[in-house]
Amino acid sequence: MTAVWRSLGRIPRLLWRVQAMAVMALLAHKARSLFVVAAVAMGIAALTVIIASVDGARRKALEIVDFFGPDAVLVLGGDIENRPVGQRTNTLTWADARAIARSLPGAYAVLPMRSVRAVTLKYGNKNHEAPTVVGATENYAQTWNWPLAEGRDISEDDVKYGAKVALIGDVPARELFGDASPVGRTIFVKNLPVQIIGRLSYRGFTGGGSDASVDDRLIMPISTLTQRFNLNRSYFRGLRVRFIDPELIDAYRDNLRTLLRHEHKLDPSEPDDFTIISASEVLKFLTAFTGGLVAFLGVTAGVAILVGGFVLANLMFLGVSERRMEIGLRKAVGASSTAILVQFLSEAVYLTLAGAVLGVGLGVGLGAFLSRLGLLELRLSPKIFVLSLVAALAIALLFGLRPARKAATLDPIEALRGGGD
Amino acid sequence: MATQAGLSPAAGPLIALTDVTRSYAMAGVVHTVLSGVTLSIDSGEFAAIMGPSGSGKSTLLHLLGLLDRPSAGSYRFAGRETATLCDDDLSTLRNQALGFVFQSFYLIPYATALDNVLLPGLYSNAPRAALTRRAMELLDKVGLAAQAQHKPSQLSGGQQQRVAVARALINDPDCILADEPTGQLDSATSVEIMELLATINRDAGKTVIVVTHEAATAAYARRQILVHDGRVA
Repeated sequence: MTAVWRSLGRIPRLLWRVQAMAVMALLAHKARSLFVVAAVAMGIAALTVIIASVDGARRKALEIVDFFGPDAVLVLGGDIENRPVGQRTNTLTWADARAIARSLPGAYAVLPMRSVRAVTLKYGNKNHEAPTVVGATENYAQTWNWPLAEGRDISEDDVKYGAKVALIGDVPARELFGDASPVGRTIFVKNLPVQIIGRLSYRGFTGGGSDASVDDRLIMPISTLTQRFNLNRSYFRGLRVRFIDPELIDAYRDNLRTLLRHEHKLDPSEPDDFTIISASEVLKFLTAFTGGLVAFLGVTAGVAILVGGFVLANLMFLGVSERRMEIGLRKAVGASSTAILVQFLSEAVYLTLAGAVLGVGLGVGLGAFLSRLGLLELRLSPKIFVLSLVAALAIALLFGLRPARKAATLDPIEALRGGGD
Repeated sequence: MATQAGLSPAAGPLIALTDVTRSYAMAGVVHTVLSGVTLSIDSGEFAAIMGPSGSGKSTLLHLLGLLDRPSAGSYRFAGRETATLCDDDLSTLRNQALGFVFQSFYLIPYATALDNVLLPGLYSNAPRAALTRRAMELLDKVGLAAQAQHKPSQLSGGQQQRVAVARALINDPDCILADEPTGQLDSATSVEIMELLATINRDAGKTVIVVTHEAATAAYARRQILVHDGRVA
């Protein structure tokens, strides 16, 4: 028993010493080591970018679904994908809204939307040009899953009586009021004095392609907006329809389309004069856009990692044959096959780990460059670092094992005969 | 350390070969390199194994050095039958009980003289500080204390072989095995190395076995073992 314990006691000390030998050997073969590190770094950099971009795309998708609501569709006037010449875009009416609310199964809320673009907001001596002033019905914040930072939502009475009140987005609130609370203050929207009743919380993303932030907006009762800004009273820019069961959204959509075609008295040969968009449509568009790039990067990352592995394996095989004398000598003076195996595998692990660290650095740099170009939305997380280290270890063990075994199983007599001069 | 290897000096010879044969099968033909070798070497001997090239003397040294196993016959090292030992046991025995000196020195080119001397010690369980101290003592003993941090390429052939001798001694082995230690050295340097081995044999009482085909080298040994056509005369 004591002999067993004594030999077990040797293991940690030997393991530690073998690590030092591995590092010493790597430093002695700098050019070869750098080659492997660079090759592995390329693969890991590609991996970093792909993980960051997949995460970025997923987060963006979740934000959009969250904002849009998984149980809602948006109906816009006119066929926006494929508009026949001369087709009107003002096609959605109060009658449509009422018909949907009355007879479409599953629909529990129909929210007409109108908006005014590029309106100057004024408070004291401060001006802010808001890209959008949205006309909304009651409970705007609630229906759009958009919590209020403070104040209250638009009420039924506000809409009924055309009250001169508004919810303010984060951007205009900051521009006009700084850190002070805007609730209860009165601002001028064009020339109309409007009291701020609530402030929307910060959302922080730009809606599909446009530069304007969703936070840069003002929300007013739709009646007030229609009356005071002389909007067309019969038509809406859009209708938002919410349904009971998000699972059935595709069926609801088809029903909605049939209903609207009927309401608009469209002949079967005529195209739709409206467009229905759901969260899944937005996602499809986004996925199609980023999907190509992600697939390309995925293949690139896979190939780059394989290349890194092959470079490692080949340079290690080269190293094993160049270092035959050293291996034979180590075995002659008492290194066990395991000690040799561990040394060569450790060399592989150190090289790929260095490659991983360099690769993550490169990947983060490349990712920052790509997202500055607007090609990708990237999300960096500790997960990337962990996955890169795991990938590096996998490369080392997968591609390093055969050359390390070759070193470990060298016959010392053969190895020493070949070495020397 | 010698006791760790299981050595009891009083009991019998250090090395005892009985009817040892070593043969290789190559392309279906069996080549017998050594046959029926019976040989015993006592602890503290200085022996030279001599013979022309191809006589099997290198194979004999590899067998003695536990780098190779007999095809048949028995090899008892320090009273212990080696045929039953596993590879790891043989590694440990080589590490603890044997020291090697080779014709081509076989120093690790990227390591300093000191690190080369330390190498067998690193595969033992001895503490690092004691090893380093001993390595420096050994380098001093072979006259290379000043060159401890030199790489092999900065040393002459004779200096490299002296580093190799110091390396062979780091784990305080029972036996030094030298394979043509002067084969690549000029005659003056050869004398230095053989004097060094003779000193180690005389002062430290180490068993020294030298394989050589040079009579001048063999002359340092007190016993000559002749190998001819795979047999010991």
